[in-house]
Amino acid sequence: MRILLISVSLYLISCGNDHADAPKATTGQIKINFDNVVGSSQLVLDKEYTNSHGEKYKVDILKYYISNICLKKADGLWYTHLQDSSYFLIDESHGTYVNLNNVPFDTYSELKFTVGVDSLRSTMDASKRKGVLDPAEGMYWSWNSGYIFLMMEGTSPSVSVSGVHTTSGSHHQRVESEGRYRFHIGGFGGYSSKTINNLRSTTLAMPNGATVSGTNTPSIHLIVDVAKVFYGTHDVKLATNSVVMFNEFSANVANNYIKMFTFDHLHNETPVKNSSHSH
Amino acid sequence: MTICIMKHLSKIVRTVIDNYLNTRSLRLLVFSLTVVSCGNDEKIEAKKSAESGNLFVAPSHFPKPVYDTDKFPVTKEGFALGKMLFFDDILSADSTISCGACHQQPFAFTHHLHDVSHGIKDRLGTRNAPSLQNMVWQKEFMWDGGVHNLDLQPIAPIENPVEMDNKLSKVIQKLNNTLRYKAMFKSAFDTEEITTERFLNALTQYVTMLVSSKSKYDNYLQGKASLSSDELKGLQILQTKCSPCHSGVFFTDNSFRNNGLPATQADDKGRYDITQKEEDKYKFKVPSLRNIMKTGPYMHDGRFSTILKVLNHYDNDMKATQNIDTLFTKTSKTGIELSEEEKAKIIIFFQTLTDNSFLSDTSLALNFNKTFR
Repeated sequence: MRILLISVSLYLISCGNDHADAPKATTGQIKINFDNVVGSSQLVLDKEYTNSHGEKYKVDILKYYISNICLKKADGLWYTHLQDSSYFLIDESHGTYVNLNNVPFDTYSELKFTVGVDSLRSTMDASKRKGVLDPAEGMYWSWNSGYIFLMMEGTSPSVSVSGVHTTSGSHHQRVESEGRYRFHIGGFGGYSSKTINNLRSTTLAMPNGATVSGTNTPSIHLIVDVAKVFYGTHDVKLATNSVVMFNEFSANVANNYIKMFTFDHLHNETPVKNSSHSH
Repeated sequence: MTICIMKHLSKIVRTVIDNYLNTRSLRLLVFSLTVVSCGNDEKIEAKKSAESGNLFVAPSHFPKPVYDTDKFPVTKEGFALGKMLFFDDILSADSTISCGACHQQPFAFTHHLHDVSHGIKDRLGTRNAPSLQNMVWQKEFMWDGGVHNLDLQPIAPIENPVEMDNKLSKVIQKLNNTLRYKAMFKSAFDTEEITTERFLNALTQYVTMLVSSKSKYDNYLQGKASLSSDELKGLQILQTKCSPCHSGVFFTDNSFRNNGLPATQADDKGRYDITQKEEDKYKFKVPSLRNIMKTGPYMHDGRFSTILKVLNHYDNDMKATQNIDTLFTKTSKTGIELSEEEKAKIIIFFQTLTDNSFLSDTSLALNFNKTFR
């Protein structure tokens, strides 16, 4: 009854001038693939790589939030994807693409997104924290209410087993590193007091445009070079920064990782319902 | 109903603004909004509105709660569930401790005689278990204010390695595998499915009801009782010498301050952990003084076993450590000068803040006979 009435009132507002014709489809889908790589090869968990500082390392956890996705339309204005449906967790071991539904037909020339969870959502009550935003997902700091935007962990011979370097807050962090590095980067800017803000956004051009139409579902491929976490705006060396969590140094990691996203290519797929990843 | 529609209208307005350049997609967007927003939220609200009222009623001499007690009311079933969860060891990794282990009602939900508490496997923390009372009037939680929403508070002790050392996801899973809880969630939320949101909401419903508002001092404020001349004298000294930190109806201004505690080996930097700001080092939340005669030991690390030791600290033993509050450094001697007589009067006044009806309210305690019929 309640929902019915709400729907009626919604209808009155949104459909005021429309006639009740059968609605024509005016929206489609876009798929964005986050192809995690190291340099020129596909990232393989638990495989040894060497970073720009000559340090050997393996990655066994790589997860990051992608949110607030916007697409630049043919007329130069931006389409903002419905905010409530715009939070995704890219997890190398579970899934590295997102499907955007209800994207208006258009040809989009640029893609913009945030790595992390915006401050507004980060301060909402528990009823607004569902799906990948559920604190039970583990990408969440319980002692300093906020999401971990990017989590990257693994092992490295450059990290000494004893005398681990921690610049982390002293707050109940268990640091029993066995040659293990941990990057947990978060910080939405603070609730009542201005604190670390590691929210970063990136805008990527798609040279030939991504056309969403009745016959086209673009599948965008972004290359995400994890090796860039270690260099770029600031050198991040495992020997000296093996644990980076909620501290000022974390901004260096965030400034590096926002540059790891580049547009590679896209191809068009015929729209199918419940399309699955086919690469 | 009206409120619900209004809420949706405001959402629509926002969506319209966000998408004003994109009118063709409006209809579909709005449709999907309905689907999204009328999901789980509505179930909780529907259940609540079905109940005739909200068990929580703000005392007339208290301000408006910070927590939205209208949006998240307390139901009979939700409260019973929250209470059950609060006293259940199931929340800890090895099922040995509950929230109630360190937050004991007779001591205003503090851990009596414990400077710091022991979590699972007798792991010691670094901070004193704070009192749980009048929580819906607090803006930030924990000694460092790291948690900014009452609903999100329980996750901290559940996941702290030296407290319950659990994972929220495991708790939810465990509860979903417990028949008793499935039944209780069903009666509280009309669904057996236990989610983070419902779990946290249930705990908050219990905590919302931890209201201390019936002390002798409250009766005095409401003109129902008078204070003795010694009690009044103590109150005056408090108002003169301990304000603005311990002011207002809760005797706290909810600020974070360094009160000159000498450094210890733990080197707890307090608020700094949350803000990473040099000027917040060694600052801790100013606690409420309600039920203070019951909430010892005192300070963020429970270093003082009696209230007299606390007063002696302010009088004599303060150290001008980094970021000491300027309120304490107005004179050449750091601290608050207090005569022995003044201390005695303050302590006499403090007794009027003891709220026995709260400390012995049986509705807040777990009644095993009733629960496990």
